[in-house]
Amino acid sequence: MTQPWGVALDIVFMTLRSMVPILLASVGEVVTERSGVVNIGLEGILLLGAFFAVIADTATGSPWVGVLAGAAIGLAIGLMHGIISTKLKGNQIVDTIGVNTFALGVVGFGIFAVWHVWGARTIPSSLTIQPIYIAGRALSPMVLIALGIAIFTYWWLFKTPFGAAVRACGEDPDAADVVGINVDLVRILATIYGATLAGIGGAYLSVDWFAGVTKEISAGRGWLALANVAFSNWNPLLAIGGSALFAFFDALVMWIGPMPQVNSIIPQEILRTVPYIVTIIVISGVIKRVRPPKALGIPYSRE
Amino acid sequence: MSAVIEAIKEKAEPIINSLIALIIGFIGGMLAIYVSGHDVGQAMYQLYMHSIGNPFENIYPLTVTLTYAGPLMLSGLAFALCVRAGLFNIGVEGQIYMAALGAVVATSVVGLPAPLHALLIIASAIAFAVAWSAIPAALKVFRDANEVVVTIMLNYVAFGFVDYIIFRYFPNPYDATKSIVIPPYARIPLLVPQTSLSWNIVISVAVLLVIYFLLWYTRPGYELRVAGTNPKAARYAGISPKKAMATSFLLAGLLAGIAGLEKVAGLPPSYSVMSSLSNLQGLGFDGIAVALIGGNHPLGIVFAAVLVGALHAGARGLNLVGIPKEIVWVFQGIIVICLAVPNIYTLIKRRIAYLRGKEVIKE
Repeated sequence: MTQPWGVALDIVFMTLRSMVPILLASVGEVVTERSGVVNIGLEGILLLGAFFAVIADTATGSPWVGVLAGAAIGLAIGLMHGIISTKLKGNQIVDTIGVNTFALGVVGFGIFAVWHVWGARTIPSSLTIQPIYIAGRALSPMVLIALGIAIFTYWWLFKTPFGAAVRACGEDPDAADVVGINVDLVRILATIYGATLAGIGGAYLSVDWFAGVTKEISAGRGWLALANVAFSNWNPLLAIGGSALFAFFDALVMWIGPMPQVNSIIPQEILRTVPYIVTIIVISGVIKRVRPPKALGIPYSRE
Repeated sequence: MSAVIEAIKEKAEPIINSLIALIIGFIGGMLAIYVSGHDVGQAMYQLYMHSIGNPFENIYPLTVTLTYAGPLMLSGLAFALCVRAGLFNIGVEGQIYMAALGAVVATSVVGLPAPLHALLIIASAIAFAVAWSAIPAALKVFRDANEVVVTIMLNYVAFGFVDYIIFRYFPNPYDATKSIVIPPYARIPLLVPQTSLSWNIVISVAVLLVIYFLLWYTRPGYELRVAGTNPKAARYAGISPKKAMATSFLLAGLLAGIAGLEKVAGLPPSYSVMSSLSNLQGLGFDGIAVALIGGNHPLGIVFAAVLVGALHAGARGLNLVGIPKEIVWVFQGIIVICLAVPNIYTLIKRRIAYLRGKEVIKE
């Protein structure tokens, strides 16, 4: 542990672990935004995914069923948001603000209603996803799954006809419509894809990483993901790098935070705000050079 | 005559939309209570008795509702003002924390005569909140940074700093769960004795009317609204959308400052900041619901704040029958989701007409 290589590897593994929810939520949101829909309810979906995953996990005894439950709640929210953003021509920011509020309510209320405890419910480690071991260190298979999904999504978005259709809907829905693409349908599917991945990310938080669910388990990761989408220029591969950067600061804070030498200079409470400050700097410093999809956030209507 | 009816119908439409959203929100919330195995009737009865009750016999429940409504009006107005200028400012929450920090820091100053000290506390609370709102304002105007993400991040940062600084440097020597207490001469006096209702509610309504007047009856207010609804036309008319954005951000900070002050200096019995900022948390976020229910209109916000205030007051009653107060956010969340659909009333009308097999109503 004292060897520098050991320390570096530790930080790499911590970063990988912190990266999963941010990566899944960002990759999904890349697809959603590429189709022209914005979903700022990622934070709420993470929270709901975490909660319902624990319910399904404890009911069936399988964390993978928990992951499916997280995906299912994400899918449901995505379907709703997709329809509101397209067919109903609703305000995409407002309804997802509602999703975040709803999630806070359901999870805060639900933890007590289901388990009769206040604020937090832990699960035994037998109910969590079992790690695999690489270089003598535990690694969740979800890390590999999330990376696989990011690479697959890149291929799907940039190398297949369906991906081209998604991007067309976000760039120029009129032209997409002319060539026979059902803009509303593509957008609904892209929104479902994004929200489902966020739901899986939420499930990872509870049935894998933290072995339990709390009211604050998402801790801003949905918002970090949203910032990461623009930071990675709406590209799933770059999103891996972006997520790793955000996760690195997360891991660094968790690693050096409790050290007494560090604590005497910067208290942990202040150190914990570092990832958020980094996000603000990134979003106002770097993102100037990127360009969002042209039709982002605008419901499509045939003129 | 029919023109008048048409005009009334047009004005009534947003109100009907809000009412439909409220009804769906209540149905959803009651469903959640039902699913969790509680007696819905009993829960609704408690909600009603603790928020309204029978005002002729006992005014207390109503005063609790209005106690909640006061600061909510301001946090709601702060969000609405920014929407009017075309911004989604989610940062009111953090600005309220900052206002509380400002009030506590100023409280710690010793050796000033009482009136001067009271003034310093007020000024400090507002200055801290406005300064915090200047950050997203500057980043939006100069760097075009996404204000939603920036303000959310600033909320987390504000929470970390304020909670740490207050309980590291200004803890209450007699009670570890709270900060030092605002001195009696700097408190906002009670409006109704033996209740928690202070002049907060009067201050809030007055501020709201001032902002209403500024927005609808002055040139800068008009410019702000034009810049929000149509930035292109605004630029063409020589109005700077950036100036409107900065103004609305800073005004929102000012409102958040007053809201934070009301929470810390106008709410018995604590007159302080509680640990984990528990007596401040959520005020900014609830303001978003208030603004949206109120149609982002100052006068609508008065009613919306009373309504959301009643939900919070009623939640204390729900607590008695074992339902956590977070249920309020289930109601609010569903209401806000419904409010995002612009013409829910027309949609329902059309659906009914369709089901009856009649001609589809045109928009």
